[in-house]
Amino acid sequence: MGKAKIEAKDGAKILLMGNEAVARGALEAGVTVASGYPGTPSSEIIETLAPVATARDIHVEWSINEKVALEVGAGASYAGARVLVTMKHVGLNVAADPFMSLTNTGTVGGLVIAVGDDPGMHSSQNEQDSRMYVKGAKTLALIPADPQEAKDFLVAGFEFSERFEVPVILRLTTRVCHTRGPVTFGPDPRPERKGSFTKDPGRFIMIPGNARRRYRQLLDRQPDIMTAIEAFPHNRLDGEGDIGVIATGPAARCAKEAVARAGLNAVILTVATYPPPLALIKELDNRVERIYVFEDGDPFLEEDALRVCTHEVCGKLSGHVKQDGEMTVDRAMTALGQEQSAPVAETVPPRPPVLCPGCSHRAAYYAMKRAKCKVVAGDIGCYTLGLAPPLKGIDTCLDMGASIGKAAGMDFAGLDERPSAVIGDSTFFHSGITGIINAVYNKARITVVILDNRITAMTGHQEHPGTGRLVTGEPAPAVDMEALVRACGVEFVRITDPLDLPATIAVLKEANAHNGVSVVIVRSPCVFKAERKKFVPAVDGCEDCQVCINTFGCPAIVRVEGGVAIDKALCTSCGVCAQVCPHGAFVLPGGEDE
Amino acid sequence: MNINICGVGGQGVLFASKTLANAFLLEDRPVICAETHGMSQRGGFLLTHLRTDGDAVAPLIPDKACDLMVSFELLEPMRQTGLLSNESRVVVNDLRIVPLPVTLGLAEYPPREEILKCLGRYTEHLEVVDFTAAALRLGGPILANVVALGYLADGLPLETKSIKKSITEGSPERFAATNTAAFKLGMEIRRGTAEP
Repeated sequence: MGKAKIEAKDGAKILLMGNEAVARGALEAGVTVASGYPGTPSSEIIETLAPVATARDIHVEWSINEKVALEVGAGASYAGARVLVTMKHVGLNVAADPFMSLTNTGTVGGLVIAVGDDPGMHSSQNEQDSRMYVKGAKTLALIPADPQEAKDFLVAGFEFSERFEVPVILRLTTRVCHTRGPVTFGPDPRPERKGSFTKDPGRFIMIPGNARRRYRQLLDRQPDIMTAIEAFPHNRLDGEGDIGVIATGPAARCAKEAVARAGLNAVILTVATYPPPLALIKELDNRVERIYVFEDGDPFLEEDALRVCTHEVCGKLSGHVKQDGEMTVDRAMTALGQEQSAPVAETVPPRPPVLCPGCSHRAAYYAMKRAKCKVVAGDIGCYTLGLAPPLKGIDTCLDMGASIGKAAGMDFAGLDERPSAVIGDSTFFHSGITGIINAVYNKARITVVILDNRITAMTGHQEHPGTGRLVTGEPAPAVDMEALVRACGVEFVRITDPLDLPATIAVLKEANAHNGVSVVIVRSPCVFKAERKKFVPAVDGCEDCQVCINTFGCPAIVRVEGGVAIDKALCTSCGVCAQVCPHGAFVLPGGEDE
Repeated sequence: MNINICGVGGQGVLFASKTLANAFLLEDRPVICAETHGMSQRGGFLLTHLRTDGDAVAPLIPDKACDLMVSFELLEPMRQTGLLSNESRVVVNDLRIVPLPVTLGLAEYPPREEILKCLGRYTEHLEVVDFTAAALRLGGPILANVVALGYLADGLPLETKSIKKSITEGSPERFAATNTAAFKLGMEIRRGTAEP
């Protein structure tokens, strides 16, 4: 379709998703280095930037994890580049170590971390609020409410970062990242990627003596940061009335709509930063009788309002607003005392996300069950969906890379069964390697199953260090997973194709009998990327035992009168059903029926 | 105006809502469109909230404030009845996609009549159209979304040419002709000059 949308000219008004708008913002800010690790709702920022990167000589990368992404960002910033780093909220936990000290060394080239928080946990394991890190690191966050602001605030973030020498957080939420809206473009400067590094050991080498001095300087900069926050034009008071509303991000849009729908007269303070503008909060407090606070995540804004306001403050802490989940117009209306009749929930069968038809993970879980993997520590990726019936393939899911440590911990606790861990290829590179080394070193007796589908599938098929391609599509060295695992000290390493069930079951049984850490790399490309010979198994001789449905559960196998059938539109020709059926009723081409 | 588009991952819910959102933008109207992504793409429930004009500033449609709900699957509107009022127009594709828990016998898919009766309790403006059957005549079930856009065109506060332009702008060139045909068929179904 020709030129990328984000390359339209200055003044163009284009419909963009929040994440695409952030990518456009990176062009307008003159970013020359961008790094990140995929994670919903943030993934599309790097994906949108990558196709225009090569022609503009911008270095864009999928990093191995968020910590390294930010460390790459720190180095690039020290060398004078403007840097965008992207991740989801829990990714900031992984990057927290460099982040908390980067405010001490400070940045040189502007550095903004675009973090996608996920209130309501649409695609996440927790609802943490990135503002907590902003508070700890003594920097600031800009908080957009729509795609236009996402772009504009990113550009403003670089100005803040360079002015105060701090990494700035662009706090995005799902309703900004994945909301489309009109975005008016600004100038596109196309700077040259030309770094230079000025040695300054007292600043860049964080030994205690230097760190103590730098931290004092960071504290001394705080009043100036607060002054700039008070002056940020998107922090603003509107309206007249006895009621005061303080709200931030998309929650501010919900609050405005609720006030309008309720026909209330209110003074509304839109807060676009964290820390919030305390002087404006005090001004609001002087003008109203009662104050409502609306925010997604933790009640940080409410705590600040309580600190400086003399009037009653109503929010999450006071019980006026529910603490978990996303802010909505209806929630804001309820908090404002408007009677809301709760909608009736109809009884509807659930439609959970499931492993795709023909997904190799389904076969792997099926094989693990047959190989008597009884307790399985899970991890984060598509394969987490293996929790659902009929596979019920995992017993835990905590954080990225956690499966191996958890399995080892279960072994150390004296479990009767040998624990297994399942981990995807991208998650293995992200943070599974350290878990393997730890398990070998501390003599765990566990089976680690690496579900290697050659891509970061869950977040939309991003490349990683094992795929042999960069985010731009350029060929790259592929890390040899088997050699890496062996180098970690694992003596039992096997590779198996999960679409060959008998072979996989045999290898897993052998792995479970090994005294120590055994690793089975279960390798088959993601069904979206697999080049399989197209066929649909014929069904002949189905005895309606339903074993295929009740033990394997491929969505392409459907119930029909007197048995099962294959949905031709869904089948992806993995051929595993033929190995599952005890009666040989799924017939593959070539006359094989087993 | 508040429009909710829903269906199952892979049915073209996002294309349909993106296309409509862009059509509003082509007429220089305010528009926001919140999408639910991520895990929904694996055969899960997928929905978008498209809002334009008036006081619509929040990303999500408030309870009972949906003007138009379009579902590409029969069951899905039942998940969102909280959005409906008696004024809401609900257009449903006459297509059942059975969720895995139903296949496994863990849940039951309600009979068609029961679904329609349930939706009828919320609104009098319910239309069930077999967009997929029409799409199949043109080449594939994926076209049901564009047939639906054609069907809706006459009732939307938009110039038809804006929707057409938005479809063309958003389609890869090789699909442009088929999409145009699907849109035209949808309009004819609505006008009663073609069978669904």
